Amino acid sequence: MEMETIQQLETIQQHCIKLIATAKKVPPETLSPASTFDEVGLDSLDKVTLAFDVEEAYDIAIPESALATIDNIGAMAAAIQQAVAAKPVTPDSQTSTA
Amino acid sequence: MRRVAITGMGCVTAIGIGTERFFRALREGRDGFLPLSEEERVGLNFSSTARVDDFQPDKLLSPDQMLLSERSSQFALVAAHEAIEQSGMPATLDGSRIAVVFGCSAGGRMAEEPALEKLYTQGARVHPLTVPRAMANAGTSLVSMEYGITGPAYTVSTACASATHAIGQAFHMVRSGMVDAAVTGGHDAPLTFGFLRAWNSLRVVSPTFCRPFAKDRDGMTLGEGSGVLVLEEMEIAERRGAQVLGEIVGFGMSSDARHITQPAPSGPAAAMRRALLDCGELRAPVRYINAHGTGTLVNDGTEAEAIHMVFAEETGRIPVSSTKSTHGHAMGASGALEAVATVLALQHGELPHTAHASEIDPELGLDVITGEPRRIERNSEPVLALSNSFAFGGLNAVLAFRSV
Repeated sequence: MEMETIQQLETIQQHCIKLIATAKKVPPETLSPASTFDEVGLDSLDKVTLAFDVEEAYDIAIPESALATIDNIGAMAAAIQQAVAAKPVTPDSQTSTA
Repeated sequence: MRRVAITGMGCVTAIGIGTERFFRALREGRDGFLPLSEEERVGLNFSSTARVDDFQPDKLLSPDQMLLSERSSQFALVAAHEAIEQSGMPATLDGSRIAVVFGCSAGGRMAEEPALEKLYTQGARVHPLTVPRAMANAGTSLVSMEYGITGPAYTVSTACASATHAIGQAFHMVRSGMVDAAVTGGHDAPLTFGFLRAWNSLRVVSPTFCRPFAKDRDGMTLGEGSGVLVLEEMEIAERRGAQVLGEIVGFGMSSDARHITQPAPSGPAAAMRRALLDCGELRAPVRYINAHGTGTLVNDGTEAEAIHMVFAEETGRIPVSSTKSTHGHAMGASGALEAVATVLALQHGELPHTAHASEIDPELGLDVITGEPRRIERNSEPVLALSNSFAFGGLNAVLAFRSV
């Protein structure tokens, strides 16, 4: 299933790497989940833009408190995975709990 | 007193990108009014705007600049590039001794309006670059970043007089010695769905086309664009062998303090008088007025009255034209386009005519240039030209240019 694929951490990591590589104009192979935002040269505006891009792509919300502590690609991917997992699975399940 | 030379100019306009194409269109009286599409004109009393049709920013700006900018500030970057190239300035001057002062009335609506439309109608997220792209000072900031200009830098917003106020402030800064040079002018790109409808409601936009001072004038044509001038202290400019295109010698400002939209002649007259007084010993005979000339019944009548108040019996001998009849009313950028037009007129000794105005309103009592450009009557003596800008809110600004 497509949703199951998206939820795989590795895929999310690769997606983050691709977004950052495009934004900073660096080859994706120079980045890894361990790369910190400082190493990559991601400033505060780049970071909020990245957050916007992933929120749009996964239809999630990354809370300010979580974003403030994220300082590398792996942590960003983990936060995305967590937010995706916390999403209601179907509109039906939302209705049934309402 | 220090003198202030103009050593570079650039523009992005509905009648051409670059001062050469701009001047050619002015000479030909060729307008840049383009029809709106069927969809765009729904609910409007007008059907055309003065749009910059052939602007391709991605060919002129870096990917980083494209990311951080929107149409209005992109206009500013492109016009500044042309002006600075012509002046040769950045290689020769210390960035901390240079100012950037731009006028911008509407801000970056092309970034803001679509984002808010999606927010209001679809609950969409708003992109984090919306604010930096839409802020009115984006043009000033991007130009200062591009050229390493670290002196005073700010944006003036006084509606339709924004650029004239900006150029006047920059002129005073160079003249006073606060800085040695300035990059100044204005930019606006406000022709969004909402903006057109807001102006439509004011019922001052022409259902046909802008023809200032004409007997049958029926309003303005909304436009967009950017004009930029490089100002330098005269001795510094001459020492480095810069070509001096013209000189700014006076600047006057006033407020009507009466009505939020309806102009009063006393305010514009005071601004013209103050601009002439500000010329001091550089005062010369006024041989041209580039009018605010929006083409509305009220503006043109009031402006004519103000010119009579200042020049009395001399009025009929001073040629007047409004170049808004070709480049449209570019809002906060208007004063900059008209400053460029005025300097070009003095440089070439040829005054642009008011296009489309075939029969001039005799009530106005002005010598309005129509039909074709007119040669400036002059000997070898320098002459002055005024450029008027009068904003909604009653805020008036007038620049006095002197021929070289």
